[in-house]
Amino acid sequence: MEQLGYFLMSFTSIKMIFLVCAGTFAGIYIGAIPGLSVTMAVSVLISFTFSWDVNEALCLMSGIYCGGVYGGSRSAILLNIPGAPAAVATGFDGYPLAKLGEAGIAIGLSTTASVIGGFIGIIALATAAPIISEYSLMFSSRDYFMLAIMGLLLVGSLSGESLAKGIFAGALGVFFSMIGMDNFTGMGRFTFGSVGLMSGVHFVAIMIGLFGVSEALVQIHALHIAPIKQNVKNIIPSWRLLFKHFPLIIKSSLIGIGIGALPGAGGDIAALMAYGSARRSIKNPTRPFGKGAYEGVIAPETANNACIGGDNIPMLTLGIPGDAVTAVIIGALYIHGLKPGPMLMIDTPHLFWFWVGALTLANIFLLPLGLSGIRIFAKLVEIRKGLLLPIIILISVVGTYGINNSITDVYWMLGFGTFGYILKMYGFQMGPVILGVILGPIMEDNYRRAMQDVQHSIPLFFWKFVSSPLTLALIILTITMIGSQGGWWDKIKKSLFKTKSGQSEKS
Amino acid sequence: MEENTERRPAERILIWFLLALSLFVFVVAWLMPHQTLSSSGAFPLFIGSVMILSVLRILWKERKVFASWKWHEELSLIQPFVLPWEVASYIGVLVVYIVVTSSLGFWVSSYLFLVGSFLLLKGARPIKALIIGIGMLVVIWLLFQYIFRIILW
Repeated sequence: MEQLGYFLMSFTSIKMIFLVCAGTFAGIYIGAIPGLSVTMAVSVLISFTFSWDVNEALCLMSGIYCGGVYGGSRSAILLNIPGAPAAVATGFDGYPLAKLGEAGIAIGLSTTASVIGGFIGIIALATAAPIISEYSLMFSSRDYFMLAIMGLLLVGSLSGESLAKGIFAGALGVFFSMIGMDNFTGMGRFTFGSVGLMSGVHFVAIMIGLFGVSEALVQIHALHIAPIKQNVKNIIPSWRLLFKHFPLIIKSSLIGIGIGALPGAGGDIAALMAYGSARRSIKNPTRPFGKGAYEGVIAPETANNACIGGDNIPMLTLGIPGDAVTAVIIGALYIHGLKPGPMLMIDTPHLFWFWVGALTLANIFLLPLGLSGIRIFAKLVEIRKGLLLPIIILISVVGTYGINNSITDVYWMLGFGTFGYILKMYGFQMGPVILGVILGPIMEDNYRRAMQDVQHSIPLFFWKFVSSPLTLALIILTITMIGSQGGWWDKIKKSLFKTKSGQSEKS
Repeated sequence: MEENTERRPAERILIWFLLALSLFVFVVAWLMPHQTLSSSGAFPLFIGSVMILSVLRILWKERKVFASWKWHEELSLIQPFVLPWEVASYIGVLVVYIVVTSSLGFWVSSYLFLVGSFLLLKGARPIKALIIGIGMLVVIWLLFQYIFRIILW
């Protein structure tokens, strides 16, 4: 009963309802603008909430998160430019539908599928997290070390064109996280005698620089591309259409939850897996896949929003992010004095249930906000980049300054933004850097604790790894993940991109 | 995982720079105490090694692509590829904006930055840029004064 009270807390305050609604709205529209990712939206906008009461901040964050993950689908459908990696698969059939004049149905289906998938994901989160949290109390330092490694394996799917570049980017992020005072000895590392560097570089300055400024600079290259206009009508899908595809929605939700719950796999993989599964299992789609099949929109959209619930399971119970967005959210929770991990459910169970309630509310808002405002969206994508980018930069500057009221953070942000821009131009992705920043300290602290436990004896260190059933299970899982990175993931990508290129060749 | 073979001017310069950075990280980590496997320098040494190995992997994998470049051809393409004048001048505008904010104050410098950026990036004509600049600052003032409660300089 107490838990229900916390769950419904955000539903009972006008201010909190407004914040969730505003966050969802902002998330949808920022996520929908090509070039502006949900990670960018979350990292820039949450920096403003650091001075807020934690509940209000969580309300805004939950809205931006849910809205942003969904928002990416709109530009994927209308412009064939996914607003987020999780929306890549949506464009395979969403854009052909738009070309057939059925953009409205595609948006309507993606919205309802996202909402239903989101609810199923939240139910899974509310059910599984308390159980996993209890078990996670049995985890030792070496288990957390293994979990952090599993999380970092995500670089394999976030690496973009080259795994080596992804590994470098992840290690670079870990290096950034090491600048400052060593938590164990109090010694300065990579500070070069500077007292100012002892507190390290604030990770929000790194995040806003890498995702806000660098993306804005990359977008300057696209200043001359004329905005595309689209006519959208008949946005609300029929009940008949929804009922017909309900089994697919359930199946895709389960895929999304399962993939999301793995530390090291996020919405993009979930969406591609669900799309692949739908292609294989549906014998008579409405149209052939790749040519505007409704199923090709429903499956990935359901999975990537169900993945929100799944992603939150390792994030809240183990403190391990599932993707770049959850890595940013973990960082924000730290700033608000919360420590995602097993103790979160013990020390502050009310905040867990409050967060679940806020996610539910955001999902409720997703339906009306997603099914309306198409005219606003059409106007928004037509805004000139030359008008939009300076505003993003200004918001990034204010957000970074707002962390500590320090101009030094703004300089750092600018430095990281420029460095990130150069790296991006040469095919390095920023997702692994952020994962490195967040997971680096978790990995190092637990490695050092595990090493101290065995008095620095390497044989004993490895013996402990194989003699504990839990650690051994994690090792096997990690090895499986390493092995699979070059196998099934590439296979799925190859088969899907083959279809996509085939389809675009024909069109 | 399939590796990239796309030709990008000056990529090899960046990769060599990243190798130098990685070596620097490794050397600095080496100078930290690393007597035991949980000393301050142990993990930085490991990360430095990962950085070096991954950069070496990129250099090895892309060696044919890098070797296909001629220096004069590459040097002539760097600027248009990575620093076209819009990007270079915009980074310059950003640096000036941050530097002058301390002396001019947030509102004046931000207004000049917005109007200047709109004109530079061809987002709006002069009169429209002046009006949108004022409108944006009013919105920001309202948002940060009453909703986000952030003190702006």
